[in-house]
Formats: sequence, structure tokens, C-alpha cells
Amino acid sequence: MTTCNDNNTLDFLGYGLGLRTDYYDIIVQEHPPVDWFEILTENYMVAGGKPLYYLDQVRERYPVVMHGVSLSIGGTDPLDRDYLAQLKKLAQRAQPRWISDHLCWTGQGGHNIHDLLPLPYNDDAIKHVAQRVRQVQDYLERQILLENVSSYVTYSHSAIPEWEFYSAVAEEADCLMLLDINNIYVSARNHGFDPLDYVNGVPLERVQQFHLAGHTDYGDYVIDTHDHPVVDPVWELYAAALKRFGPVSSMIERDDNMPEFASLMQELQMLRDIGKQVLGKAA
Amino acid sequence: MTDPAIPLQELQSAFKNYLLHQHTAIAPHIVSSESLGNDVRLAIYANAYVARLIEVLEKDFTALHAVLGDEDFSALAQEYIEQYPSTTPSLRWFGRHMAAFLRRHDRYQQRPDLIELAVFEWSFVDAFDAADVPTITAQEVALVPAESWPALCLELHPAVQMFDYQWNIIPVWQAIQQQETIPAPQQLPQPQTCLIWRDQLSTRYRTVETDEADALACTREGGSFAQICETLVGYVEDESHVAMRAASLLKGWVESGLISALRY
Repeated sequence: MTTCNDNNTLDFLGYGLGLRTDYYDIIVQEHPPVDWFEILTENYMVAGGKPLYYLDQVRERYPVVMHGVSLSIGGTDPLDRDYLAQLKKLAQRAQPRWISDHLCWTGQGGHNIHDLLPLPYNDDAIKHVAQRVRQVQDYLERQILLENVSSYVTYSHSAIPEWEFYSAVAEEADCLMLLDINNIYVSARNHGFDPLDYVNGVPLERVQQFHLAGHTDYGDYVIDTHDHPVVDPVWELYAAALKRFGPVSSMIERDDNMPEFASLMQELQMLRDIGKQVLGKAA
Repeated sequence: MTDPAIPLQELQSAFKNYLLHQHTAIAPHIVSSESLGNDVRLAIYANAYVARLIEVLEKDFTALHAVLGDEDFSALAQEYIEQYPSTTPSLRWFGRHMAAFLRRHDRYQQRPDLIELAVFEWSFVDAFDAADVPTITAQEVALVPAESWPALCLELHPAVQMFDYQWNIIPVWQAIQQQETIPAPQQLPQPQTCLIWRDQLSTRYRTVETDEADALACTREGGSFAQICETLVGYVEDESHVAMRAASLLKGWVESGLISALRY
């Protein structure tokens, strides 16, 4: 690879939700007006049963994208060939519009941490991650999206701001970006930078998707918990991002303390309303 | 302020050893800010690591959790996390060593009821997302020629699980599901066999009679219909009833969707 797929880059799916088990029945029975769904890749890397049944049902009616948490693209263990094979097999079934994972590492020495651990922001890490992204893209025969993670630590040998690191990886690997607006807010609070510097520091042409989510605010720090509604400063940052990037497929991520589906639909309406307000009625 | 000396692999190894073993070699590589020390920053990750894995075990072993209570289950889960750090990309597999862990545990190896409960709950996990394979219908069974019956082999659906138990785990599990008072552990007069399978998308379970358990075990080992009949001989008073009992069992298995292939 890696050729840039212009159609993919420009694909605006509208306003979506994360597909979660709590809402399977409502979604397949009532077909709520959600433009698209994002599935958590690893939850569908199974042999059969309910997860794949509902995936097939949802896919019949809605565009789907795949979002993974275990690629460990920033890891130093060799890329997990078995995982990649499962990823490719699932993609053949789900026919996602695109595949994403996180700009982070998730394991070491054969152990999986199941957390999105940050990388040091320096040249060595850029080269290391970019060559792994290229390997993955070659294997999958498509570009992938990498998402910025929330972080709580800064390494003493980080040399550049996170957004410069993120942009450099994307450029060098020729991959796309999934910009998590809440993660920018969370990391900005935890590390003391201006979230607008982040939004303005990312290349326009590579951002394919936005995530929005809730977090838990502990005063001195903020944790990315996905168990609350989106807060006002994150909505405001989303509006600023839309203004800069134009129509970008946007969605709400909710993973815990699951509310009634109707209240998620209200948050989805907020996404739409802000989209219309910033982009005009066309979007 | 930059410190380019540490290679990425070493940094990640040190971070992992902090999360898994509380080793603090990572700390000098993490910056403290005025409002937040590096110890607090690292602890956010350490707490999340343990909390996430405990939550997974709570979800997969709800009955074990209910019997032990929060405090003991949390302590047990933390020991488990230390002994069996995750080695798979999906958390789906994280709890797979629970029964083996309990069997070797100083305190719980004397609690066969808890070990059986863990086996029971993990069987549901395995049945839940086992491969989707079409099941055999009664019409397909009817098409087997009479002369092929003795050599007929049956393949069990991938979701089918069986295990033997000697304690009152079923009433315990049921009480927990119904949010009723959990009965005290009690040994059964005789060992029982539990069958777990999937009916369409829902997992099911039932206790099976001893002769059916033997017949199912024979089937799982690839035994022919004639061999299945042989296992039943000791259970019927009149040997002429063996074929009828075998046919009746097979009918039930087919109706429940336990059989995925007929080979003859």
C-alpha cells in the first residue's frame, strides 16, 4: 500500500451510535433513525451466537464501521497475526465502511492490558508506529483510522505535543484519523493544554470520524469513562471541530451506566442539531 | 526535560510491570505536574486495570460473586488477575481458568460446590457464542436407511456442554437468578450430569438421567448408534427396550437442536 482512497476519505455517514447489547432488540425491531452504527470489533470475534446474529441484522439496515481496542499498533510485541486474521475475517462478514483502532499500545510480553496506554511523543515512536500501521494496511488492503486516546501520564522523553505526534504518524503511515473530541477535552484537562490547539493542529484531509462521549470529572483530573452524557465543553469543542473539518461522520459512544435508548437518541439529536447549525441544512 | 535514553520496549515493559506487579521502575519516566504527582497519574491506570478485569469476572461469574459476596469475590478476583494475566486480545476468554484456579486455591479447593458453580457458569459462556451450525431435523433422521442405523454416528452441536456435579449448584444458581435466599451448600446423594446447549440464540440447561448422560458421552466420543445402545443395556430391565430408549433419546436430542450432523 498505501493508496489514499478518496471515496472513503470523503464518505460522510451522518450521525451514529455505538452498537451495544442493551439496545439490540430495540434496534432490530424498531429500526430507530440512526444513520450508522459502530461495532466494537473484539465483541464480534466469536464463532457464533447472539453477537453475530445481531450484527447481521443491524448490517441489513444500517451502514456499519468497525472499532477495535486490541490492535496494539504502538506495541513492541510483533503484530498479532492471529488477531489480524480474525479482523480481516470479521470485516468480510460485516463489510464495514471503515476499520479503526487506537493510537496506543495495549499489551507487552504476551500480556494484554485491555487499556489504551499512551505512547511517548517522539521521532522513534512515530517511525515505529507508522511502519506497523503500513503493515496492517497492507494486510487488510485498506486504510485504517487511528483514534487519539485519553491519557493521564506524560513521559519524560516526549518531545512534541500529542497532536503533532498523531499528525506525524498519520502522514508517515498514510492512514486516516478518528478524532475523539471527548478524549481531546480529557487529555487537555489532564495535561493542561488548549483543546483548540489540538483541533487546529490536526490535518484537515485525514479526519474521517468523530467520537463524542461522557467522562467523570474528579476536579484535579478527568477520566474517560463513557458512562455519562456528553458535557457542554465537549459539545462546544465538537462545534469548533465541525467548523474546521466540515462534514465528518460523528457518533456518541456510551459503554457503561447505560441509559434508556431514548436518552441516547436525544444526544444523537444534539449531534444532528449542532451539525445543522454549523454546516447548514445540507449536512 | 526530554530523556531519549529508554527504548520503547523497555518503557512498555516497565509500565506493564507496574500494572501487573506494582514495580515502580516506570515512575521516573512519568512527569509530575503541580496539581498531580506521577504516582497519582500512574495509579489511575493501575486502578482501571484491576477494576476492568474484576468487572469482567463479575459478569461471567455472577453466581460465584453472589455466593462469595463483594469482599471475598474481589479478593479472589485480584488473586486470579495476578496468577492469570490476560493473554488474549478479547476479554471474552479472560475467565477461562477460574475452575482450575479454584481447584488449586488454598481456601477454595475445599469448596467443590464453588468449583462446580464456576464450571457451570463458564459452560454458559462457551455455549453463548459457540459456532452457528445447522441442526438436524426429524425428517433427516427418518431418511437414514434401516441397515445404516447400527453404524450411524451423531455429531453434537458445538454449543453442547456437559459436566458432572455433586453439589446443589442448580438450586443455588436458580435462587440467585430469582434474587431469592441462596441455599446452603449441600452434597447430593448421587452425582448428576448437567447438559448445556443453545436453543436458537438462548442458552439452556437441564439435568440428564444417568443413562442419557452415558449415551451423550458415548456420542461425544464418536460412538455409533449400536455402541450407544450398548451403554443403555445396563439401565433397562428388558434388553428389547434398549433400541426404543435410544430412539427416544435421539428424538429428544434432535428436537432440542443438540445434533448437527448424521454420519453413516
